[in-house]
Amino acid sequence: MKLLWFLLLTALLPASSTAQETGRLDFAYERFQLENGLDVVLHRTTATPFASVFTSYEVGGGDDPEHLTGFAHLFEHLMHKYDEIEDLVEVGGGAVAMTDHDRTLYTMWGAKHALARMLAIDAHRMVNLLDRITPEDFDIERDVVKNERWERYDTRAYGNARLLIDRALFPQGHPYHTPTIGSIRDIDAASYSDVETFYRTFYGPNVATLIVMGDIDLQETRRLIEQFYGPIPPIAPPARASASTLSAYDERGEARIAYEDPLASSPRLYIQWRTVPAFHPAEAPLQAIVDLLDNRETGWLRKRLVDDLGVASGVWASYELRDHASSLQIIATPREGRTLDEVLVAVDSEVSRMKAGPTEQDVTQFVRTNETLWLATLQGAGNRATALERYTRLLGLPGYFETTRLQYRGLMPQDLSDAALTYLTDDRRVVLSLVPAGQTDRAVSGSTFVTSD
Amino acid sequence: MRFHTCLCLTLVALATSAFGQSSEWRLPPLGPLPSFEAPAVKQFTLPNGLSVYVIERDDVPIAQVDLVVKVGSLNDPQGLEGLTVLMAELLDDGSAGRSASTIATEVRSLGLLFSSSAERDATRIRITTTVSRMEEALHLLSDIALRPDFPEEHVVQQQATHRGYLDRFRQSAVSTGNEQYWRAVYGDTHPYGRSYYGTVQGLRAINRDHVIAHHASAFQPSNAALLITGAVDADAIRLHVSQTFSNGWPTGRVLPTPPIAESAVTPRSVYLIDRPGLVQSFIRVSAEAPPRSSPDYYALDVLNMIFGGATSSRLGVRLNEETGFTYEARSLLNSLRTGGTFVAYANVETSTTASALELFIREIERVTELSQADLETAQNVLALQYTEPFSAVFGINPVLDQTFIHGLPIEHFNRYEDQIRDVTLRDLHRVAKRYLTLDRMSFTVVGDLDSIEDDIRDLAIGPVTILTADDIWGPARG
Repeated sequence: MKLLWFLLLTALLPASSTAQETGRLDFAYERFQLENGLDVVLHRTTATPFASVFTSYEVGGGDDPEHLTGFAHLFEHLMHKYDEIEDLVEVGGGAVAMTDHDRTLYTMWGAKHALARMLAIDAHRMVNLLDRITPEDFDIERDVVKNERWERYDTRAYGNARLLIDRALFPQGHPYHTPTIGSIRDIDAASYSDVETFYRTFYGPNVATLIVMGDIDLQETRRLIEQFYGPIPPIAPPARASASTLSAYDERGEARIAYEDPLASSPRLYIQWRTVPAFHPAEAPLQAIVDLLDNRETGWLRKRLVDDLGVASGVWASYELRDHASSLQIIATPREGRTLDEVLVAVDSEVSRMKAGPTEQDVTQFVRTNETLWLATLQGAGNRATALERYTRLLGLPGYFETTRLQYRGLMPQDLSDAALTYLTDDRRVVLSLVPAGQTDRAVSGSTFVTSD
Repeated sequence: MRFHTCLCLTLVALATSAFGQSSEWRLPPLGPLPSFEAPAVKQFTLPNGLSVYVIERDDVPIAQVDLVVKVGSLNDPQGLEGLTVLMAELLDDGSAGRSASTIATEVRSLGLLFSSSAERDATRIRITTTVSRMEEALHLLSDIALRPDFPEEHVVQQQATHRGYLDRFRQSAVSTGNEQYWRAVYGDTHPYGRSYYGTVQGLRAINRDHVIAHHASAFQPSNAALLITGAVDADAIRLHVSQTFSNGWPTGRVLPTPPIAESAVTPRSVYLIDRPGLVQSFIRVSAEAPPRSSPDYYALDVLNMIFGGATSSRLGVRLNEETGFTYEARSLLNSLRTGGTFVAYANVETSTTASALELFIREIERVTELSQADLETAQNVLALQYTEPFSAVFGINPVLDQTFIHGLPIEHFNRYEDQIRDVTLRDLHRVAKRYLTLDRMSFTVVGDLDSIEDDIRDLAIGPVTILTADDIWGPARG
């Protein structure tokens, strides 16, 4: 699959791109693979005396054991249970991790003199974690994770929307059907004995991508990586969902669901479409569509729904990138006295306009603004590392930056129209009405009420 | 923070690998702390008084331009609460005869990222541009900043939008807790005691003339600074800036800086806000903090790092690592132009509310238990953390503009580490006694009072007051 998308993208590139006023966008990197399969990318930047270590494992919420939703994420917390990681604070650094449905990404950063120490810790937890985790650690961390679920989802108005949408957008059995944060019931059900099985199944050098960047000495860094990670044996590749098993889940008809939110005081409408896998040729036009629908200056949705029609008080569009199926989301809050049905009709008319095609000026403006944003974003170490990680893990091409830029520069109005016609269809979407408790009559017509987990 | 006695500690751990082999794990020693040079700032002042700061950075062909004026919600006139933020967000809704949509199209056509906003102390207009469009970007910035039209219908519409924001904040348990921790320190009358979006009543009272007059007094060159960081040449910038920002400023008088704010804390006061059915309690413990320009600032910065500035500081160890009471427990030092707040916070599971409050209190009571190692480690942390934003263009101006907003010498930008290293244990004890005693704290808890009120009262922290949304936010539809 990696190769296929790459060939498609290359074929789509315009024969001669627009003037490259700012030169090629190349970030020098060095890539190598250890004998045990660890894929490594080194990238040197010297603006600050810092170094960062990013390790991603091919395991995510989509790999949660049955009836143990949230386990991959709970496990991620355990990988943090090293006093030595906390000590990174002493070198101006720290550590964070994040689990999505597709992968788990661990980040450590600190002053450059701590690089060897960071690599040693990271390699240690890749193979020796179980020596460090006690059942007591596990119990405390389970409480922390339950607090995280409450803090991020259950104590916020509209906090459960995302979980409800994923459940409806992806059928049972699809890796995105259940939430990465997990249900409180499942988090409670997890036990210390599950940790060992999960660790042995999913954590090893041959299922990891290591990005090291910052003010580093390339040769010395490579030597350290070989020293610390080299002796770690590979694991049997775990069984995971593949593109071919997932394609059967496409086009399953529109789902209209509704939820009574005890914390919401006004209704809100969510519309979300399943779109395409990462790096699919339609990804760039779909992202352009999101920008045209919702940008600060000339966003179509705000102009039409808020300014012209006055049916909504706020409206937002966004694109969520995921490996197997990204999605495009529109959220709107109706103005007092207006209904969610009216809002839905207005959104649909703007989506239809997009299907008819934006103007050339619209697309040119997007391309320019997007490039400024992208360049600004890529300056930050975390953002650049995230891009390097995606390019390496999914395409095997760490230096994909310039290709990405050219691909966006080559966008034409027809590309956006085609993408809207193909992917923003009713049978690929979920329409969620979130209404205050007791106001079930305010949901979009034809909705079925659901409960949270 | 788990401070070890020596940073160069070599830790040898014996571990059995997952594969049954015994492996000796030697944690590599740390080398010497790296040094950091803040980027050079080229500084000049236009004859009209506008301060200009330029930092040349050429790794990516973009630049960020910030025009900052020292007027924030602190300067909202009484009865017109919310005026500054409203004015800031209306700046690009029409200027120099161009409509809002003409400006929007121009911003998009130039590929600019644009924002204008205000907070408690300052108003900022920010443009990010590829360097090839710098000249056009500066022209557009000066039109938007100096010659806005403030069309009547946009003023009315924006007021409605901001009232909507306040409605939403009022409904949010988190926003309500945060609002109350400021209010507990500064009361109902001082601007620091409320959201910078103002009040529903204040917003209602504002008309277009107020906005125009407020803009004229805010946008005075002697009260403003232009910060440009990116792949630029300082000499060329100087020329462009002289052409675009020498003339055309509105006629007005600079607003006087209000005096240092007086704290309104009732010692050990406890404020409870009822949210029936909430599964967590939101705890906010707040006290008055000195202005950013105070000589006490750096010592308190260090003390905050030891207390709760990082997830592995004392608060995090007690409330997260040892007990699992919360996902995150931290403290923050918000030092502003004429005052500030210190706040320690955590969202905890309802049944652990009283136990969590006891841990907050215990940590406050032992804040003066400090060692030389605590001090040195926190100094290292702060010195190194300070350098982090410098990795990207967008990180630099927000650090640099603090020297301008708070009237600090440029050394506070490029010699930050020296200021932190000068702090002594004696300083820490002094600021701890001056700012972080229990008698200076107030305790705000938002949660399900049926479940938590009795236990909190049993702690006998101090006078308990139960607050409603109206007490905190004023009448909903004033």
